[in-house]
Amino acid sequence: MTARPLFPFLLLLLALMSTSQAQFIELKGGDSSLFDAGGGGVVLHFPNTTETFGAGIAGGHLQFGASSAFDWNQWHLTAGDDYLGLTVGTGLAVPLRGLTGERKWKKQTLTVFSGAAGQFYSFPYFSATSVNHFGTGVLYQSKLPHGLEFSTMAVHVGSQYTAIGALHYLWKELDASGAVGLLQSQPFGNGSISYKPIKSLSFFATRQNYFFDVQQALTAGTSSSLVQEESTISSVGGSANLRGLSLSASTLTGTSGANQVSGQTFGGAIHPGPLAITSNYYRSAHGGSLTSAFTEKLTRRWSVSQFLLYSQGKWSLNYGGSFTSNRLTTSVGYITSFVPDSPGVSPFQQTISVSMTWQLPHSTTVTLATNTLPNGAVRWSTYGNSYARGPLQFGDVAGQSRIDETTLTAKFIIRGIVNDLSGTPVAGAAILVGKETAFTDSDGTFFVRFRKKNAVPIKVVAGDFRAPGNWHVISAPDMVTPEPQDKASVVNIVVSQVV
Amino acid sequence: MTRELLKHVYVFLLLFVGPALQAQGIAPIISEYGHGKVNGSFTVMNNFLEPVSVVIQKYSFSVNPEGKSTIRQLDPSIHIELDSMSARIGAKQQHEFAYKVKCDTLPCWGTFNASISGAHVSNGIGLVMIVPHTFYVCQDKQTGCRDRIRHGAFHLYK
Repeated sequence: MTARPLFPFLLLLLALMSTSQAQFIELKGGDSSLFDAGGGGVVLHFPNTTETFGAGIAGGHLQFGASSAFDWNQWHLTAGDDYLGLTVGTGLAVPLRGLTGERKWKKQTLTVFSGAAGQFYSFPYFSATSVNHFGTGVLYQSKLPHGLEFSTMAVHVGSQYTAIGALHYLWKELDASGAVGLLQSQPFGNGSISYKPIKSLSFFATRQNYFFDVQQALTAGTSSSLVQEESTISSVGGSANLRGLSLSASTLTGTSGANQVSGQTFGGAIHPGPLAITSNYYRSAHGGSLTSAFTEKLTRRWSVSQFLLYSQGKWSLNYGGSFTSNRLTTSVGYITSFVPDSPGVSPFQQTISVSMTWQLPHSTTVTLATNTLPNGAVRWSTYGNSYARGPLQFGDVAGQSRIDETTLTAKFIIRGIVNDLSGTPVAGAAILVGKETAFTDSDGTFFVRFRKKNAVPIKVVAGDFRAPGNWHVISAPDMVTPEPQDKASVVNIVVSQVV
Repeated sequence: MTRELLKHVYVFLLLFVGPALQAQGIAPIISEYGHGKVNGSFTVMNNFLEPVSVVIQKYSFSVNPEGKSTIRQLDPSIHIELDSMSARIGAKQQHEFAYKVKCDTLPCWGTFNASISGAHVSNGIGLVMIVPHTFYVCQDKQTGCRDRIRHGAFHLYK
């Protein structure tokens, strides 16, 4: 085994050893055929430093990353993986591995870097960097008078130079930004402007350059290489809002290599009552397509949608919708993207997306998503994360992190009041009622709603009080029965603070 | 290439759109309702690295023409029903509170203060962060309800 494959395991060992000292620990992991990557990561939050470790398989290769961020004098330093980001006018980020230092003044920020640069892999479940060239760079950002903001970035990686200057101007309803220079020794220019002459009318124009590293197979299944491709998308458009009716129109031009495409969009939206109707017409050299969505908000949690699609002479009707609760959020919908590198087909492509996110106990969140691409291929992603207090004490002190799912339609209620021995209301007392933890307000009162009139146990959780100090229970019932809201009696609880 | 492009678009969205959505502790900060009907909700986001407890309290408030606000006990003419008055929210998770409001006279307005605090401390100071959600209810249309109340009831024109 060479030293390189050993390195991620040494990082993992270091991460596991460090957990015993960490104040907060974030664990994450996942896999995705959409991103073509799977892996996991650990973030350790110490009082003065944050350590990040990540490793996984991306694009068929093992990738890893590690960083330590801390403050030293007036500098914020990061040792390991980081990125140099120029957000004004570009959204550009240069992935780095080395030492990065950032110093902030009142209106200026200076970032310097030295080490190596390469490719950045950032997913919801792990981040990694693969470096291949020595690199050094500097980023300077300054807020100038009269709504002007100036940024400049200079980076030297291997034999390539990046030097970009960017300006952002904000004056009343005019917002303009632009960036010009060299990106990896190639000419680069981005710009956008938007103007809102009156509240109900706005115009915009943008030009964006995109550079992609595309994995290209040399011989099928055996070897591959990275090829850089450039795309440029320009768009001009406007929107108007007339008494609840929204209208919009835009024209887009995209170039990717020798492929040049253009298209126009026309849209309208209206919201009569609980209904939302949106309709968009997309026109290109390959014909027109129409997407209409009728969304009805049935309840606070449920909404249903019908999607009417017309493309290449065919009509189709699809159904979607969403459900939102404190535990589960799920939705089925359509996304229309403008994809310039799509020879022979319309650049406007519809993607079906299905997503589900669960908020589980112990600060754990799990997401499952599938995307059906225009060619019919289904891609899925699943990932989750969890937070713990170090060393690895998951969840809450009382072990109750259940998310309340009661609604206003729940007919029964348990009301109570918590006082101390002198009769003074106790704010922030934690009362476990059935499976729900309730906290008292400044009047010492609490309530929990129930759908059924079944007796439930009640318990004072002294170790979970919001109020500081040590508390013990003087008197409290063991069981209580929910009652109709207008007839509910008040449960009396008495606690005492240990001095 | 299509897949590659989509991949980058998604990565871009996750990098830059995701954090923006997490930026606030409560959303929406202000809600407007028309035709005297209120069936609303607000969401409290826990951006901390450990679970927090949240307690919701309801208040009335007034604003003088100079813009200074005064908070007070909820007026007896405003009747509020909450689905829950407290919750524990896991690290980086969120919780939606639903409410119904009925006012004896219109327009009416009020605020929910969500007081957020972390783990129990035996010694020292317990810190509480308070974030408000304010609602305005008008007899006529929903759009511009807040501005009409600001002008009509508070005499605020800025």
